[in-house]
Amino acid sequence: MAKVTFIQPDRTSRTCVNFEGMTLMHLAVGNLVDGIDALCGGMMQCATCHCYIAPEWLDRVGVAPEDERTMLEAIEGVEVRPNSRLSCQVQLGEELDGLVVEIAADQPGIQA
Amino acid sequence: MASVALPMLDGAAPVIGHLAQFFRDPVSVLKRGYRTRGHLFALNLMGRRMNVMLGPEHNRFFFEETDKLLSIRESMPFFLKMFSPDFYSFAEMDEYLRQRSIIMPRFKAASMKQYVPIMAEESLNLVGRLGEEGEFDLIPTLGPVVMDIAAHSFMGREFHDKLGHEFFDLFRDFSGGLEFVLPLWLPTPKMVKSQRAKKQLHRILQSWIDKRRSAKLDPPDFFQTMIESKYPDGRPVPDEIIRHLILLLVWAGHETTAGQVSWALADLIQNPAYMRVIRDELATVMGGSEGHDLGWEQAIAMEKMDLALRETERLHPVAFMLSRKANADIDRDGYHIRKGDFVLLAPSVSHRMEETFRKPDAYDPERFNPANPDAQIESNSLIGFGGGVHRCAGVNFARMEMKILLAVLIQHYDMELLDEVKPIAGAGTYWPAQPCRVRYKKRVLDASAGADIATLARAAGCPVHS
Repeated sequence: MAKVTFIQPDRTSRTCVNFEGMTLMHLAVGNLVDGIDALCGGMMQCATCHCYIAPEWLDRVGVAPEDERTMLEAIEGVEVRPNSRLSCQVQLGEELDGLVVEIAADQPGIQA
Repeated sequence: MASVALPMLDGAAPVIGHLAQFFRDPVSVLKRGYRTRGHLFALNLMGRRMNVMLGPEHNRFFFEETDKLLSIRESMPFFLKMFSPDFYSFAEMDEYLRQRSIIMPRFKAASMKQYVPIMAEESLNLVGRLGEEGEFDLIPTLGPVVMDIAAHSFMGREFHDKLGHEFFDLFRDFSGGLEFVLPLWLPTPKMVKSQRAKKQLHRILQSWIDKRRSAKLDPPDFFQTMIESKYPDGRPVPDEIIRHLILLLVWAGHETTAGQVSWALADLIQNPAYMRVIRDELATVMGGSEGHDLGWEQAIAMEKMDLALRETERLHPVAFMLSRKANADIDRDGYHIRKGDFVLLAPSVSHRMEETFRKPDAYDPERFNPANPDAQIESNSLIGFGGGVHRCAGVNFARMEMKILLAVLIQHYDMELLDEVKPIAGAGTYWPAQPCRVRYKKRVLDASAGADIATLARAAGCPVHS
């Protein structure tokens, strides 16, 4: 079973259980985890689902492929790191059980 | 490699093909296709070839190829009549994304957290109306509550207060335009009513927009924000699009949910063992409270309720069919699909396939419990809300409101079903047929508090709270 822990900038955290083999973004949004806005609904068009994969998990999750990297690098006003991913592009499965993810301090991109 | 067409279902009549049977009872036709032809088969609807694909592999293909090999824009013509060709999934991709960006903020976690008290309030309003004991009919009772929740959450209290019986009836008529089978130019009473209701709804909404423009609300509520929204190039969003967006939110926010929550309640009433599991969970989460202070953290903690809702979604998917049009020739599993053919997924059938779900006709919410080593949570197996990029934007909102409405009703009432629950054959979305009456009697609540959040979080395995 895939349990994922989301850590907020203020170091509080929540652990969520993945029911449906969904993406990291859907898991966060479905569990009302603050800070993953996903304003385009998962189409890799808005970069407001940006998060940091905990470094020890990066191998298993993988770094962002080229398209996603382009979207990430276009983000302004938020620190993009080597372990940055767009959570709508991270598919969850058994191999990611225990995954730890850090929420970014801000989600610019499409303004509400 | 020779590629053949998908095997055609038998029993096609001359000219109209399977149209008449499909019109009467689409799910039984789809089930017959699976029974006699397997995972891939075709139907003939008045000369249109509909290719049906079943199972998680094909579901994944369908969702991944949407907007590539498969088009959603041309697959649901009824949607064009109910809304417009430049609207939402049916507009050009850029326009679709722009419009989507107007409503998606409504579904952010921060927004969602504010809806929970609204959902609790509307559910408790229903309890107030129901009183101590009596009978209610599922859809006519729960439908308006669900619509009220959508209007109140998305558009604000003022909007909600303006909604009356007239609005609900207009929406019912408007929804009758969800016609998949018959040609849309056919002036059936349902189509005529739907178009008339559409005009009336647009008139009403425009009058509210005009009034708001002349007397702005400050600070703005969502309605105000919507009216003032602009495209990235600074152009204001046209009133017509705003009206469509409002109608979409309120329509989508009740059409399917009313059916799903009715099924969910009927399922639980018919399965007393799981009703007890839900009651135990409510005792932990809500204690003996009436629910006036129900917050999002308690809602999130209702995991058994989550499982029950998923099992209902599996057994009674209200959107029983998903469709696309092939943009190009497609070859799949040795079969050939021609450009211009339709491609269909059938949740109502694929949710009941034995190889995907053990004992598929049995009500067993625990089959989804990830704590079970053989939990059945393969991705793309449960597709009641679609999948891929066009997956229902309101999935979390719908699940949250169903949870809360059910929690409040089950907390307050002992209930039994008076009528047999049957789906309406041939309906656009698959509701339980009416009447489907519930007899209810008030339970005594001792007003004790539920568990505190830290306890709930510990129980959920959160490492910080452990």
